Amino acid sequence: MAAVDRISALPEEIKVSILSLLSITDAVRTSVLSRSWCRLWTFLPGLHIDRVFLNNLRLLKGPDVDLESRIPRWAGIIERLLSSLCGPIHYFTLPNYSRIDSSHVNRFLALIFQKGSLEKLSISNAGLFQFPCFGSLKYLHLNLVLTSLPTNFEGLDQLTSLKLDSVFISQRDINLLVNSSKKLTSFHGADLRSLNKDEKLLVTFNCPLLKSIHFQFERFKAAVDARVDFAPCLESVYVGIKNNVKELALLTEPVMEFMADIDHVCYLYLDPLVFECLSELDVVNAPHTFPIHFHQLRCLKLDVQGICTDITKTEMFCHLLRSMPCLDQLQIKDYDLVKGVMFIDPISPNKYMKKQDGFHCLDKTLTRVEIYVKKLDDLNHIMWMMYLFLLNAKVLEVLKISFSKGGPKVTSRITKKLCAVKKASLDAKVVFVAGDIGLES
Amino acid sequence: MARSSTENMITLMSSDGEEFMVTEKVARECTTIRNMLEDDCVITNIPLPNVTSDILSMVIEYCMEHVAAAEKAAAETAEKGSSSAPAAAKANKDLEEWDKAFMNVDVYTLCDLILAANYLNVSGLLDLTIQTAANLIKGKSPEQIRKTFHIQNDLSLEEEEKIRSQTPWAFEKSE
Repeated sequence: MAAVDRISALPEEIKVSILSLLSITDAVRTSVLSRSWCRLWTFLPGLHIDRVFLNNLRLLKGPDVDLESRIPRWAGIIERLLSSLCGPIHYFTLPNYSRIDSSHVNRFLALIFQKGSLEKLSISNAGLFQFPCFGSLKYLHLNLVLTSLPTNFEGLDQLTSLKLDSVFISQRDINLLVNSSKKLTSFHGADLRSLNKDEKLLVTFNCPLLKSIHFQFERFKAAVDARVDFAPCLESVYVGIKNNVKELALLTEPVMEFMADIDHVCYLYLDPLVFECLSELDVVNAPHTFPIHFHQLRCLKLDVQGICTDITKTEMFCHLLRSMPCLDQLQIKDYDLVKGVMFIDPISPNKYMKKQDGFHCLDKTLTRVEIYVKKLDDLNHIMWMMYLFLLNAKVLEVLKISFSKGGPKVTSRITKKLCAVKKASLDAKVVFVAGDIGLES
Repeated sequence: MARSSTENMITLMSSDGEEFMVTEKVARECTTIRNMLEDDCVITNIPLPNVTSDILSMVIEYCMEHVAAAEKAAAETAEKGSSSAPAAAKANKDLEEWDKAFMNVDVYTLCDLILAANYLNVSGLLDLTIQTAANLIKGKSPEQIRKTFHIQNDLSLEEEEKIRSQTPWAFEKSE
């Protein structure tokens, strides 16, 4: 067969989409293949810079600083790449890289701004930078940055997804980012701080289309709180607490206030520290009530420690179940069930699960329970949980136990014990899954 | 594969006049054909003047495999009430393996498949073939890429040198 060049004959937009799957170095290298390839990469719709690229540049021979422009070589290369692209530039990604500073980022963004149409921006480790008014931006991810918005900033009205990790930002700017777009559907905020050292940052959500919030509280020097004023479409919320918090009790009030704002969600995910923080609530004085009623909640994911052994946590767990009358699915990840509590007797389930206790979800709605444990060898602890649901959940269909360590011996022992149990729901199936990676967050 | 006798059959005709009988469900994997069927639902014979019979048979093979996998997953979900994550992960992996084996073709066929997937608008196949082409370029020197795809270098030595000098970092070898 004669050697025919079929790939060069493909339509230009297909060749560009092939290049867009390559690293920028591989894509630029195709410029010398032949005449028809030499400008092809400049039609790329954006630029992904990754750490490999920046690290490789460091290994090159020659001066580290561009002699003409006096900027570091890597920054000069990115600037030239951005200038070469024909545009519009739809996406730009800059990784976490120690040598990046705000002056570079400002120059990159100014270049991108000229070419217009940026939809996806992801920037890490950028120091304090000025954020241009990218009117077309749909996805914004900032990581490890200090940022300030221009005084005439009018908001990002196309923004649908906002992700902020370790971002220093002023009170005015955070609320402008969150609330200026009526299209925002997803918010992720962790380790947010105010630009002013001792100022408390309060994120207030006023978002007609917002569907999901992932929010991490922290109380380390300055605090960050979140309130939801208006979010009728909110479906799922993750609440977390940064793990370096010393006085957890201080957070109970703001966390409870936030949870009261989101009592209309369908999916709720609580991390271990939030559960611990809720357990600080004075449960003795209010034995059968949780102050918030999650009237629409269908799926609860809990990441907890010691739920079967710590009486306060057991109480809180039962309170939560009572406050969720429509709960259909429950996932519990108790990753350190065994560690440190080997010799504590598990709590008797019957003591806490009496009929008159008003577990509406156990009577009517809970159909699926998944429990993930690291090691399936502590029979009593896991049995407590299994009894609790098998004896009380009347419409239960599946009780799934996933574990990463343990074996068929243990599961057969448990199964044997369970044969004697009078199940509340005849349809309930018990499933063991070994080697499962656990619950996805 | 179980197939109900009432299911609509569609005849696809390749550029070289060969006819392929497929179920409507398989044909609908091609967005181009799906749009034709939605515009005119009595259509049963579709000529495809841009696709040769050997490529068309491959596209149909791909669509049938993916329809069968989706049907199998749906049947399992219906049977058990909800799909189990490990089983779904295994089915996905099997399909990925199948795709990988399916992509064991020469570059001519690959380029023809890209064109056919683009023309018939089979997004899964287009993504798969384009990714395969990208993998053949990834990490290779220009000379190796030219050899793989039989690309004739029509640049003069000076021109090539000039292009290289604009982005020298792309051509330096890094270990």
